[in-house]
Amino acid sequence: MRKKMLFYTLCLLSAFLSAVMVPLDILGEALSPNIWIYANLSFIVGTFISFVIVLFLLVPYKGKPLGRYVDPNFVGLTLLNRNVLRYFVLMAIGNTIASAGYFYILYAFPDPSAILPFMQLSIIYLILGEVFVDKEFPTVLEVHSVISILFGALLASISPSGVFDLYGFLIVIVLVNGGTTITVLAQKKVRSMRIRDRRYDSINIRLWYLFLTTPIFLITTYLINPDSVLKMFDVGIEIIVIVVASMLVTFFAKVAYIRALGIGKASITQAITSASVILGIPFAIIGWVIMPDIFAEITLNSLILLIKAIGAVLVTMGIISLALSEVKAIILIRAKPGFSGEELMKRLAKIRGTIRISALAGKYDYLICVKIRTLGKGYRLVVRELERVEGIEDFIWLSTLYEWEEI
Amino acid sequence: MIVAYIMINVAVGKVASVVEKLRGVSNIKWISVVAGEYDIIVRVHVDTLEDLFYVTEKIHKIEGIVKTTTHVVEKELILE
Repeated sequence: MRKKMLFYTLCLLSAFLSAVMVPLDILGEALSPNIWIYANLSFIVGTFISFVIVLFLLVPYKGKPLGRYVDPNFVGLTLLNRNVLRYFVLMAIGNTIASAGYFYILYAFPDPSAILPFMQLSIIYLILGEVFVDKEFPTVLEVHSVISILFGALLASISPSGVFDLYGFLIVIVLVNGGTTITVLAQKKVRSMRIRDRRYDSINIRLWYLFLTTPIFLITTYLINPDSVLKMFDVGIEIIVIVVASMLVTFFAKVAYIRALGIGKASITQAITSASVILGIPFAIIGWVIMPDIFAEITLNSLILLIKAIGAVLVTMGIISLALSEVKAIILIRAKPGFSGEELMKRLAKIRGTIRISALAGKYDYLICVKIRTLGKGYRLVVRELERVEGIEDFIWLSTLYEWEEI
Repeated sequence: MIVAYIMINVAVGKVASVVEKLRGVSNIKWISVVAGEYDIIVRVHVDTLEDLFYVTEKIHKIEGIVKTTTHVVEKELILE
């Protein structure tokens, strides 16, 4: 239960910080000579700030580094080894694509409540990816959630004048969400890897993928417009202050998000952090009231407000449906004599949803923990697969009703 | 480090109170209340087999526990 609470807290913290980040970026973009100068500055300053934060998190407190309180897996600055480097490069490429789309959208739609719903659509890619890997049709619940989130995000992102921008929508679908999906999946992979019996910590993940994204992004923008790189430091101090504030908020939003990814399923983490859709509405109103010249006008048309509210509710309903449907179970297996235990474990590792396999000494020979989206999938993807595995004498399925873990 | 799973059968109506007491036992890292042959499965991390003996001793003293079955982990694959 504590683990679940921590998971939801991290997701919601990430959502809140993301909702703060967008109005800061809108402000910074409006004051900058052009959007790509602001984008490049964000990456340069972001990388520098990330290094400073990591150095600060190395300071010991009560016998362990401060970073351990942010993420228990943090032991210090971890250099990338060959095994993880390719996933970090993948993350950086995904992040470059997503960021290019994000900064364009920021320029085209100066309304946080319109930008944030757009950014949530990558959950659909994640669910479709899982469906593709599972090689079976999505469940009714998954279809319902995907439709609910898709239409919810579309409705919530409607402009004050009631106009829907198809060009902007395509940029988000292809660039922002495509890039985000690549980054999320690579992060998930790295998060599951272990160094010295510990998971890769979210602080080092954030630091290194930002560090790798910066040169890729600068080269990309240089090719589009060389001045955006050559003149990026010819800006006022107020822009630097906004960039610093934005990157500090972004750092902790990403750390909370990556930390949550290590606890829950990627699509559910993404779904819960989409609460930023709702949180973006008050920030959009505050931005417009304080700086009406910079932020988009907030509509007073009750019909459009109603449509936006319905959109936010649909996104939330999609989130709840996905989050509540996940099923966990423990399977106890008795093996047949004469079969290789090593081979059997490798075979069990290939079964979808398996998160841990333990070879045991006792009444049962193996204990496996599985996590799947619905009980029906548990039968089709796990039980039917186990029945096909040679070397299994019998097994029992124990559905998890409640779980507690020391963290 | 030695890792073990202890499968526990609990008297009817005692699951909640047993879980509460198990949470206070040091070395228990994970508790799962399940539906099936057992009622609760716990994961224990200890340094020696003797420590495992003391953990099972503590568990046996909890009121409501009917039976325990201990399985020591010989090898493990963590996929997530």
